[in-house]
Amino acid sequence: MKTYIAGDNMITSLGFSTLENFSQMKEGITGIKKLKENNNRVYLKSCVSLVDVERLDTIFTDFADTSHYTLLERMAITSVRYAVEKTDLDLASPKTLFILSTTKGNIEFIGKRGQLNSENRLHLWHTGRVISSFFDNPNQPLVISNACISGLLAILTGHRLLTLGRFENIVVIGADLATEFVVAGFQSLKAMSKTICKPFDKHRSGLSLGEGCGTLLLTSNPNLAADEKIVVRGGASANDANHISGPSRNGEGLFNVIEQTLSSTSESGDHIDVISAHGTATVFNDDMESIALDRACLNSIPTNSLKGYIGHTLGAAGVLESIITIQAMRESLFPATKGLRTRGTVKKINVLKTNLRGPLNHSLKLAAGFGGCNAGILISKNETF
Amino acid sequence: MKRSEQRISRYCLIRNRKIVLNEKTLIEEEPGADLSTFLSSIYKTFRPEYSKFYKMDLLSKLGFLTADFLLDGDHVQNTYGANEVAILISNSQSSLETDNRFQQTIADRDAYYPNPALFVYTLPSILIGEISIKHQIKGESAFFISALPDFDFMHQYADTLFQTTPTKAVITGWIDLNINAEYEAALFLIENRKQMEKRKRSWTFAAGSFSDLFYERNLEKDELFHG
Repeated sequence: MKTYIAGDNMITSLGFSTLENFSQMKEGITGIKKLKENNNRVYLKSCVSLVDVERLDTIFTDFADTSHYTLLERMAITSVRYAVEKTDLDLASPKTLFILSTTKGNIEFIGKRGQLNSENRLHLWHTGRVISSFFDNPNQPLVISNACISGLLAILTGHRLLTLGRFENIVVIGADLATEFVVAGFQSLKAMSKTICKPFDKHRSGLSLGEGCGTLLLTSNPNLAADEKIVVRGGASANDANHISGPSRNGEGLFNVIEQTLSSTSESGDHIDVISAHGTATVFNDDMESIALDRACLNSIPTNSLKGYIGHTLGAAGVLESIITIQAMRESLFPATKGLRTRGTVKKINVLKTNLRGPLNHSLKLAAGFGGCNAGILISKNETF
Repeated sequence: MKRSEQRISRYCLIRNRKIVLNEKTLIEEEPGADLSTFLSSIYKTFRPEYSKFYKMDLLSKLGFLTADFLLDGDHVQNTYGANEVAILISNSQSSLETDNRFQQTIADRDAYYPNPALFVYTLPSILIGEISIKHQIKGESAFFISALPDFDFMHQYADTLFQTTPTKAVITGWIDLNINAEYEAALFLIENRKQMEKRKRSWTFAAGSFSDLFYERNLEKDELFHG
């Protein structure tokens, strides 16, 4: 049993489809902007990547009442609608499971009463239900909230449930907003960069927050697979068991993730063509990743971080960045690390400063997060293993 | 039906000021003291000193303490490699209790003091990190959110990990706390029958057993067939 891709979509500051996002990235365009104080969405002065809400609502109004759904729900519902446009995948089938990955869901409603029944709206399981019931899906959606690896865990969990034949289709949705809540939090941690983030750069000084939604349709039914027949091979998660807010000094958890991803898929590290790293542009994260890649002898493999284009999209990151990686495999073009000028990590790794052209058969996607969590998945072209 | 290799070998519940470990009530207190005071006093009385405990948010304290009772005696640490133990936790309220407290620090723009130590705990999965650090567990983990405990999924996903990953023991359960500090905690240890500690009882690895143990239903039937 294989995990095929039946469709995908992403909504970020760079656009409302995978193609639109990808074409902007190819051109080296970033969606991160420096906000002045008193922006109506985010109070604090910061560099963030925000979705065009007006454009979203123009689309949304065509098929549903905007006032009944929160911004996050409108974004997710729109994304799922786009993702299924070209497939026959049945969203209302009992064989289809929705998995929502989010860290904070509708957290913008905290402390506010009355609007859209906000008390229930704060519950992530409720958000999952709003989205899956919009598409008349009969199953209880699965909601994963596991810090910044949520998105990759959602894909991995979906893949595992398909592998054992528990479902035939999985709708993986990763969604998070750059709310004042998270901006204030990351600023209080002094984790945010004053300029647009510079992943893996010698002068990197923190992350830029982003928001967005990615939808990845997984299916075990080869007839539903999109043309290129790209498959999710497997992956792993592992904990550093070291520190709740800082990554492991020796890259322990991420190293374990890489080893187990390769062993569980019987793939050799030599065959990996590219790595899409977490690359948040904090000093500690990027150093940790360089150490883990070095330990795994993957330091010569072309590697990128996509955070310089769309910021750190938290619970959506794993889904959004996997979709871009899949698109890169389709187009045989792996985007450069936006924001990187001078490589500067503790261990030398092959972070890309320019787009890489050429066939990509095997891609490794990695993520790490607070609580010492790490995750990875391997995505391959179907005919290559 | 194929006999499962795995059994539920231990479990711990904390609810209504009561702690139950493997069917035995360890502590039962009159309601009164708030949850924070209750957990701290239990910790001081029953568990060895661990300075990080006092820095945790309430959800982490609750889950951490449940895990500490569950894993008492270091059987798991001595029997399995760090990568062979998985932690799967779910709840309905995510980290809302802490989210609420963090929100209060940013609600008033004239008294704006976002607290980084608090912000870190606005992710429910931090609890998995706390348990992992204390017990040096480095395997698969995930935090799920559902309206009610979903014992079918708990069973299904633990089983999936046994079948598809190096996992040999799974700690799974429900650690929930709402903004009024109403709480419910249950953790189960699932392992291969051959590697369990020699004990009087263990329970069938099935959704029904999780549910029976969680709701403290009579389990004699289970013992009759599988004991």
